[in-house]
Amino acid sequence: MASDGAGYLGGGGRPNGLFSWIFSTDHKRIGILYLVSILSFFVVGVSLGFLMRLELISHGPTIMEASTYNAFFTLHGVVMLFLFIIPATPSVFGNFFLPIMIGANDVSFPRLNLLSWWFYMAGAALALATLALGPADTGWTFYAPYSLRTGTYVSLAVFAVFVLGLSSILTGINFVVTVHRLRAPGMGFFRLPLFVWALYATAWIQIVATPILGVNLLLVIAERVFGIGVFDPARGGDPILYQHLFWIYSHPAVYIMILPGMGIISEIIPVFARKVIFGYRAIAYSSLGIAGVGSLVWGHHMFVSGSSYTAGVIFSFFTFLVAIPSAIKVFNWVATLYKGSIVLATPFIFALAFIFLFSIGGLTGLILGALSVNVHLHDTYFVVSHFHYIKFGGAGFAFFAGLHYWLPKMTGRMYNAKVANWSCLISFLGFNLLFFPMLILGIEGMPRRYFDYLPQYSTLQTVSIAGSWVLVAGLIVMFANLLKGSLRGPRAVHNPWGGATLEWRLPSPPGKENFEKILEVTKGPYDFRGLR
Amino acid sequence: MDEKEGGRERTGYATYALVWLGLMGLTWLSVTVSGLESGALRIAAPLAIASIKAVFVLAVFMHLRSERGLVRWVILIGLIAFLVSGALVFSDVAYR
Ligand code: HEM
Ligand SMILES: [Cu+2]
Repeated sequence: MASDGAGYLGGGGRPNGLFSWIFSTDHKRIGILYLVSILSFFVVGVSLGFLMRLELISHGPTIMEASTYNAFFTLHGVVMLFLFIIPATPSVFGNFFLPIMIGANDVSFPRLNLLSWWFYMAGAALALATLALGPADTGWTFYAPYSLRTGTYVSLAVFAVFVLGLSSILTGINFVVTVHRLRAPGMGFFRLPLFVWALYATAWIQIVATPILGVNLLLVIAERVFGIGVFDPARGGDPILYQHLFWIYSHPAVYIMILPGMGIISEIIPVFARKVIFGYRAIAYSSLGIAGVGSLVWGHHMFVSGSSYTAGVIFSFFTFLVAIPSAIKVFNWVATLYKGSIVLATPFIFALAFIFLFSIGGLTGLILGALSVNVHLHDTYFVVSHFHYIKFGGAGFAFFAGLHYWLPKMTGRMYNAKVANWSCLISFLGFNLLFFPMLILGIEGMPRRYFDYLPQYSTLQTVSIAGSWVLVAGLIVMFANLLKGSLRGPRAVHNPWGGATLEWRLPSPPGKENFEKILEVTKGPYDFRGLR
Repeated sequence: MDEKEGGRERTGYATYALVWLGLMGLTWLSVTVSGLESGALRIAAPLAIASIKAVFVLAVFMHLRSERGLVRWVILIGLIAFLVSGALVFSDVAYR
């Protein structure tokens, strides 16, 4: 192992240039590759969102035309979902920590792992290429028949998403096989950290659901190029079939986004409450439950789009059902806190922010899942607010929590905790200021995907726009602090938080080989006896 | 890995080519049948043909023929997912 303390980050005598990264099959280096690329695209996505909000600061075209606004929300959605939040936690923290947490030296297929990063970059390049050529204006959902007729570069955007799907499938396959085949001796399924359980459940969704999106997207391209008439009603096709195929993937994809985040929270809560997690098996099984039942609810996106009333009733029922395993998790986290010896450190503060924001997201989801209420609220700002609470407030804040929890292990350096706590507070306030008014605007009838609005919405729109400034300020502080800490912060000790999972037994940063010799696992992941 | 590899029957290129030709033939058949405009057959026949094609792809190109144990069982997950999502889609189409 490198003796300079650089661990896997050092060249170990050999040159440590760009190629030693972009062609590395080391799961830790691939994790870092993903981290850097994903955060870059996050910056793009945030900028687009920020500009969209700014456009609404006054009536009429302010900084862009209506058609630009359409392109912006489409690209914002595609970038945020397919380039940021779907890959973020599995590809960064999953790649880096899943093998370590189960006592393995790498994933089962390291080269496929590298290939998945290359697919990711290729997909990203294609998606951003549309920006130069003529960005799609369909929304990230590419609904037919509009997506079949618009003159913008829909085929290219759709193909980009297809390639990104390949990348996601490869990650999923790798994780399932790794969890089955590479656990260290003594690491039974019920000694797996809950983060690994969450990634395992997620990986199954990635494998089973993503191909359906792939088929659907290829059909869109085939229909645009050859006019095969599967979706286009003018050719005898069924546009609602497009929505079925789209949401069969895209609702479970919401769980691809949130389940790994829930896994992060399940790691952080017990460590900072210094307690064995409450209801380990319930949390583990609820991940599988969410993956299963969550695959049966997609029709709640189609209540008012012409699908049958019978289907509406069935899908509404399953939607209420899927709230149960999610609530099980929230209750178990809160029960873990009860009578814990709480340490109010940065990762924990982010985890609390997650629980609050995710709960708002989940509860507004139940409101939308009710058939009758949905008729009033669909395609309004209420929906926009709901999914930002889930995807940004939930999955995004969980990712930030993970950054503050694990980055010291990954880079070997600490960030400034005080600044980090402030950045969490500012982002949290900004987030609510930005998105809570949208709930009210939605109830009042403000439709989504509009680049202008009636005067009666002015006050709340302005509050929300101010919120976007506060949020972006918080994010800038957060990432400046993390960047500075990662490059020049004080050295991190091997176990700064007193965690019991295996990554905390390794030096910070870990060496090239995770474990010099095969280790024997003798206790559970939340057994803090003998640790600080 | 190697010992297992030896125990498995290898699929030759000739088999792949033959199966591929068979698949093309079946594709031609389903295009023809769907042009017949004979009511129920227009939906049932292409679905049946597609299922047969899927079995060939799974068995030969995806090597399930020579796999055993867990790998064979995994296909069940795909089948169940397909049946359940198909049923739910029909809860819409059949009652519209
Ligand atoms: C600073 C942060 C963000 C801001 C200011 C922002 C703002 C916005 C705005 C203004 C819209 C369009 C609303 C409309 O007119 O219908 C939107 C849509 C959307 N946002 Fe964000 N957003 C942010 C972060 C995120 C994140 C982190 C995600 C996902 C992880 C996300 C996912 C989406 C999606 C999927 C859409 C829907 C796009 C569509 O309608 O096709 N956003 N956002
Ligand atoms: Cu959904």
